[in-house]
Amino acid sequence: MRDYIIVTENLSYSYKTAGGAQINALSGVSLKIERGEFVAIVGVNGSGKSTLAKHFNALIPPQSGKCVVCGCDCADSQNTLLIRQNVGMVFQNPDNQIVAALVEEDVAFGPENIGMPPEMIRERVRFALAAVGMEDYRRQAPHMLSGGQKQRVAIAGVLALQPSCMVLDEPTAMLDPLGRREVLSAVLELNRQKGITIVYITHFMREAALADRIIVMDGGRAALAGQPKEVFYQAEKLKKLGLDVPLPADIAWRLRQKGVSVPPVVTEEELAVALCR
Amino acid sequence: MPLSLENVSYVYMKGTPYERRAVDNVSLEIQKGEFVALIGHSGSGKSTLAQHMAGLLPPLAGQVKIDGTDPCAKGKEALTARRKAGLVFQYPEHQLFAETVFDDVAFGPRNLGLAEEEVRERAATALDFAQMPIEEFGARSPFQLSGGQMRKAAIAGVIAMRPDYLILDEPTAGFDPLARGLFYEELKNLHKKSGMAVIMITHSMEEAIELARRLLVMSGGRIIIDGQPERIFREQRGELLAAGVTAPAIVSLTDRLRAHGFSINADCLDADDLVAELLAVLPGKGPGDAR
Repeated sequence: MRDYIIVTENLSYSYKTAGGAQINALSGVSLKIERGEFVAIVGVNGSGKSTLAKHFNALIPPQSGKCVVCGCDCADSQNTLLIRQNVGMVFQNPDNQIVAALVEEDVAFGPENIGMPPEMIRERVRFALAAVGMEDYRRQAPHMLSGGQKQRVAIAGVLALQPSCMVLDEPTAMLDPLGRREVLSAVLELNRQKGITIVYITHFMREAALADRIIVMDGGRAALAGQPKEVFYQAEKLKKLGLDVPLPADIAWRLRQKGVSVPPVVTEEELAVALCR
Repeated sequence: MPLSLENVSYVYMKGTPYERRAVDNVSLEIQKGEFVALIGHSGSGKSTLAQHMAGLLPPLAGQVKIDGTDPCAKGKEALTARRKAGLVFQYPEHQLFAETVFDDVAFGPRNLGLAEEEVRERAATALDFAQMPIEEFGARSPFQLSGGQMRKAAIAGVIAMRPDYLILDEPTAGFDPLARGLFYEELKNLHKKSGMAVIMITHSMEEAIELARRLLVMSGGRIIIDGQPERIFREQRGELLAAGVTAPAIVSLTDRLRAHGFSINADCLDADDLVAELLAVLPGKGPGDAR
């Protein structure tokens, strides 16, 4: 029996624009995310990624279809608190998520809010800042930090509540390459070392390539899903959806077009080894 | 006449414990019609340098001249010089403010004291760049556009000023690959048609190679490399990496393949070239004998 932390069945969501046009942000999405999995969600702007993610911690209640998180139905508002304690969200802009004047106070905000005893808060803050490699900055002002550091503080703020799942909505979109690497390795570590389930929305295919599984969104539907190798093997389809493919997978695809048989690859090393055969 | 910087330096929070030298003795000249990419890791001084170029931040030492005039001076001449340089900040959509797209784009030209007819003409041309025809978008609220459209409307506001030097600070940050590609096509066309100089700050070496004919690499407040992107890659790769600039994916892939014994050209900067190189060296895997 597999342990699914998030299950959606035929989940749909639509809204009206100011002009009165009906937009179907999600149309019948059914998916399952296992406990401890690292799932990347990709897709162009407007494909429904963020709307989907907002269902995962009950920021949006389902309009039709089902969304079950940690065994709790998201449609029942009595479950909202429990769901949000289990699933933490991190957004694109770190500046919008930081509330305090000191790093450690910012991380303590969540635990304080749920009335945790001070000793335990201290312990949680220590744990969370260590987990993202920011313990040396605990007495610093967040606005003096780099983008990557601020985003790691935001992640620590969620982590201090010890969620079993973290949903990150383009956490590296506003960061430079160095900041992106810092955040990604912190997230990978949380998944691999602490077993936290990760739902990671990104435009960067090099980041998605590190996930256990990729879900490709298109026009409110889950158009494609599978291990990175399987998904990137369908380079042509991804390009049609307006998405990139990591370069090694792209080169493999181009070689296949020329009649060379190349197995599915994601990394540089895999491509090199495949071509040596 | 060019945009020139001579021994320009700037220090933030001078005289405090947080003092930091952002720009360190930079001299350079940019001619009209050039397409320049400015690259460097965070904190290397790129954005500060951009503000000097636009005449928005007077340097603590050194001279900035736009077509021979100091834009930070007082008076009419300096004002004219400042108006020749247009700076698009990061996330320019945060600066949208007017009730309609037209009013927002027209704000700058109106400030120039132009006749309403000319204002409209300029806004229409600028919105054409954004592929947002004034007839369709002019009367809409900028706050009900998509993220990409908001960004382009904000940039159109700078383009409507018809600057000779257009400076863009990471114009595609946060865009998906599709939107990024479209934006660069539009920027290329604008550059070709208008004859203005485009100076673009980016983190992506791929973008620099694709778009710019000249690359400036900043590190520790200095311009450490100034030259043609492809050439820099061939000859100064080590210095680039030392400056914290990430190599294009194709460079590291080519290196990896070469390490595995494939005798392919180390200077491949284009996926098509790499595929051609590989087809030539793959034993029994050439196009003639597909399996």
